[in-house]
Amino acid sequence: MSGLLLIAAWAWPLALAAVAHRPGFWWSPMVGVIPALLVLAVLPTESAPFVIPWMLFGATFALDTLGWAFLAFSSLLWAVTSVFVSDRQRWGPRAGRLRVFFLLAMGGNLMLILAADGISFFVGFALMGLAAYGLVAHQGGEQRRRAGRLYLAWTIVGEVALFSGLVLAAHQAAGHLGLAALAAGAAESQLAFLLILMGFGIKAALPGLHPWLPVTYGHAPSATAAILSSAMIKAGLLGWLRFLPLGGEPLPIWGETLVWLGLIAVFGASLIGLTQRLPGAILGYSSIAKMGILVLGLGLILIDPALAPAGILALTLFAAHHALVKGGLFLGVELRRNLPRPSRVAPLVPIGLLGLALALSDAPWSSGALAKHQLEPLLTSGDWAWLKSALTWATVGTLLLMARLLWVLWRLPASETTTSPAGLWAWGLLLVVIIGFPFVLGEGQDWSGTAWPLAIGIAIAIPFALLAWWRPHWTRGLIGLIPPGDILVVARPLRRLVARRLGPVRGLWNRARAAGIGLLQRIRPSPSDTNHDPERALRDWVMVGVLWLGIIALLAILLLAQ
Amino acid sequence: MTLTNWLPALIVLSSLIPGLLIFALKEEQVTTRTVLNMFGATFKLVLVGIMVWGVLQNQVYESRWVLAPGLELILHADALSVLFVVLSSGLWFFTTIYAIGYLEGSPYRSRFFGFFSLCVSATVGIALAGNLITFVIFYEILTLATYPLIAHRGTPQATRGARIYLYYTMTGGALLLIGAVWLQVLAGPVDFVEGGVLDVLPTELSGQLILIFFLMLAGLGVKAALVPLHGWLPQAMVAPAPVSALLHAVAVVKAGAFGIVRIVYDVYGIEFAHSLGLLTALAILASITIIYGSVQALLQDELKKRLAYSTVSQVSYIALGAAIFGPVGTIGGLLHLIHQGIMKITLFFGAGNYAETLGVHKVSELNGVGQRMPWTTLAFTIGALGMIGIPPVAGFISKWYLGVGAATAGMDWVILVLAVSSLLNAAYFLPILYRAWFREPPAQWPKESIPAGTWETKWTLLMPPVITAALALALGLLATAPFSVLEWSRLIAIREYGL
Repeated sequence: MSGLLLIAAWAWPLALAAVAHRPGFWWSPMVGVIPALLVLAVLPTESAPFVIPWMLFGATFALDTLGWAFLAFSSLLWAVTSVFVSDRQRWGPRAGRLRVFFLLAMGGNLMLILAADGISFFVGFALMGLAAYGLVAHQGGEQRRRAGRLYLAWTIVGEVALFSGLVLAAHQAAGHLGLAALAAGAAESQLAFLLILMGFGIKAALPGLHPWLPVTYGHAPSATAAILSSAMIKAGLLGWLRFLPLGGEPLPIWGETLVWLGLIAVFGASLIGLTQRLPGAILGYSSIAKMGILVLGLGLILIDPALAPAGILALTLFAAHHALVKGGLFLGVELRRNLPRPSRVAPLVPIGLLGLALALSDAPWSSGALAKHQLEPLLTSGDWAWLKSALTWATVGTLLLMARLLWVLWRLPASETTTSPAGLWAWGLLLVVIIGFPFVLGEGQDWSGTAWPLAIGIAIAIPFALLAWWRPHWTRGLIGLIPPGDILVVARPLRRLVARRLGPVRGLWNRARAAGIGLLQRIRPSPSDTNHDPERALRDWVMVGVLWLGIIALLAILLLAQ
Repeated sequence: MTLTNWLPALIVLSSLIPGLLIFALKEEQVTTRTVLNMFGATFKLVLVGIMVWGVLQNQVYESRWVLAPGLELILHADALSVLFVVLSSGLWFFTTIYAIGYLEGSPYRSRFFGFFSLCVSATVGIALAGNLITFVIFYEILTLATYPLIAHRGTPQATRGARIYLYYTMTGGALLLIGAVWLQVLAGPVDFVEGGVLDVLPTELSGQLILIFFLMLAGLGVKAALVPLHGWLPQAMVAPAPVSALLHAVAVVKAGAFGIVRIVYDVYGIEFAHSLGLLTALAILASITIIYGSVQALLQDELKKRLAYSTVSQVSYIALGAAIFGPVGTIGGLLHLIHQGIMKITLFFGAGNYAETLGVHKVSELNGVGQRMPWTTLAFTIGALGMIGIPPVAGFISKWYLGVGAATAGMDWVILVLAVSSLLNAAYFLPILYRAWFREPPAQWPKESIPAGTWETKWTLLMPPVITAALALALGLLATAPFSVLEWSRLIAIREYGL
């Protein structure tokens, strides 16, 4: 029975996806998450694995504490977002397609959370990643389409890196495909470790692999960006926690690399985020910064494996807090933009947004304060005690980012499409959960937090806001200084440079080709062919024979050289 | 004479006799022809079912005729031949249904279906061949039986494509024959035996054996479309869609790849081939083909041409699997023999449906086709995702085994080839899917000849791709189910390595 429920949690949304395109099934996203919620309600946090021997290479599904925590916040976010996605007015004539992709992504996400073997996890991860394209690119437009393409390209690169990494890890694990076996395998091979780190790193916006994220978040519809920025980005973290060898031998080089990458993310992303115009891009950079804290924590665990059990728990708590609040912020942006302005409930939205912004900035009594407090044992370990004060400054950065967000939202024009007030109720429920979060999960002193970073942040933000108000042209230069996707800008001239450098090479190649073809035609003229056929020369008999002999000769030389 | 002696021959005859009868039919005898076709296809499936059951029980099926002293025609069922027989007769069944719908009302159908049946008879003969000479004979028959199918439409383009095909394959066949005869001179009659037969020869013959290997590889590589011997395949895409399905998935290309597998495993033997260093050479050739085919596919706008280059690339996964030393790699290659066939036939059925229903031939014309033909496009999508290697479609399973096999054999660079090929596959398949599902359809299709009724097109055209797509998905999702291709490939690998 419990096994069937573990299957139903991901299989039910996938089954619904088969019919969700019909207009009569507009409600299907909302019922998709029900079995997952049932799992949370009925099953204990640790349940026996359920094996389906004939599926994939023997698929195994189970619930453990880590999976339970991820399932808890993810299914709540899917449930809340599904109310927005089920809105019939909002999504235009292709709403059915959006529902299908939403349910597919949901099924994939829930599947990977419950997966207890590497292949099932990978299947869920791939399904989620690809289906999310439909959430990004919905309702066209050139910019959104470009964002979708960027998302898909990076996702595919991530899949391929992950595939290669898992193959290498599976080889080291002598064919065992359980999560623990693969993690042990990844410890044996540096390359497998790197590929797995990168494969999930693209999803989790590891610095350097992040440029797709602000562009995608910036242009995707806010309601779907909400699920991208919450449940899905955290799937990358879960991947790391499942497949990286945490708690085994110390890996100081990898660990230190991750700590520094995390720090770069925390401070770099906050600064770049301040220059953004699009609310989604601001939130995106904030996500990169927050994921940076998780990357940093992961690095510390790799340096000192003794931290693993408590450290993983703290990272999970932080992930849950960030997912809930970030999802809430995106949905708030959606409401702010699409709720008809003159309505009575519209003024509630900015109040909620302000609260969420404070929670993200670790204000006292908020979920952020609790999450930060839980991280402390991790941060004060060994030689890294200075990280604690460094991260306090990161809080200032977050607060400034949130101030920037509120500023942009305040001046945001209303959208032409409107959303129904049902979303507001779902959002309200999410806010209640976030408010209750520290009270349920923490002790009194845990969430009192520290107020002074908040005070510093406000002290910087207010003069800046006044300046921007009175003398807009003084601050205007900063806005849009760095476009979303930052290092992509560097890539563009680089590509031009490579193209220019390749120009002569290509010319030489073409000339050599023409000469070769000319030579062949002199040996054996072929009848001229009017339709364009670039391989014609290759089909010439002499050419085929010469090539075959040439390749064989080359291989023979290689053979002899061995 | 009992069933065990006659079954292999019966399986060949079950399509040969209906084929010969169809030649004698008049053009307008549609019902008789359809009945004959479907009877042949169904009867063959039943016989193959009996054979699979028997082979599982370790039953030996062998038909033998002495043609001349030292020259025997042997049809023999072992685990490997059954794998190919199941693929070709299973897919032939669907292709026949598809072809009946596709060619409805077009001229020269008796000629077409006659050669169509000959083609599959030859393929089954190749699969069941028990020695090298039998293999070569059926291999040549296949060449000749396919020519009229490619030339079927009679347009200058079609005859040109068919001529190019014939030049290539006749030359290849000649090289194969020379290799086979040379080998027989050295080693006597060469029967296919699991584990190979040549390792008993004295070591001073090694040089000649290497030479013979590359000679036969050239002959087989033509049909298997190894670069630079692949030139005929993209030209042959002028043939009607069912023929493309036959070329790319059921018969021709597969016969070449199957031949390579046979030569490596059952003539040279994997360990002997490994000790001669032939495997590395084959792996490099296959890798070059995989990358080259993918890059060329990226540059094509014509849908069928893009699929043709994709075949060039994907079929070499089979050769690559044969070149990876160790049971895991072997399983990967054998799996892809089946998986590639099922996924590629789905894609060609899809391309055929677009062409036949809407007159759409180019990738750039596919905008919004998912709204007009959702089922076909869904099938196409599954096939394409499988080709990229997205789980849980079948292609992922074979790529996984190839990757792990390569790592086990210490050929880590193969994983890089797989990764690059996956990226290139994504680069040429995903834009198709994007256009089909996310772009708005044009006001008018190029040449809409089948109106949208209850179904988006004729049911004979719709059913085959939907079923093969479901199969492609099931083979991945249910990879370890009893009687699955994976289990069967494991059986072959265990027997080959004597585990």
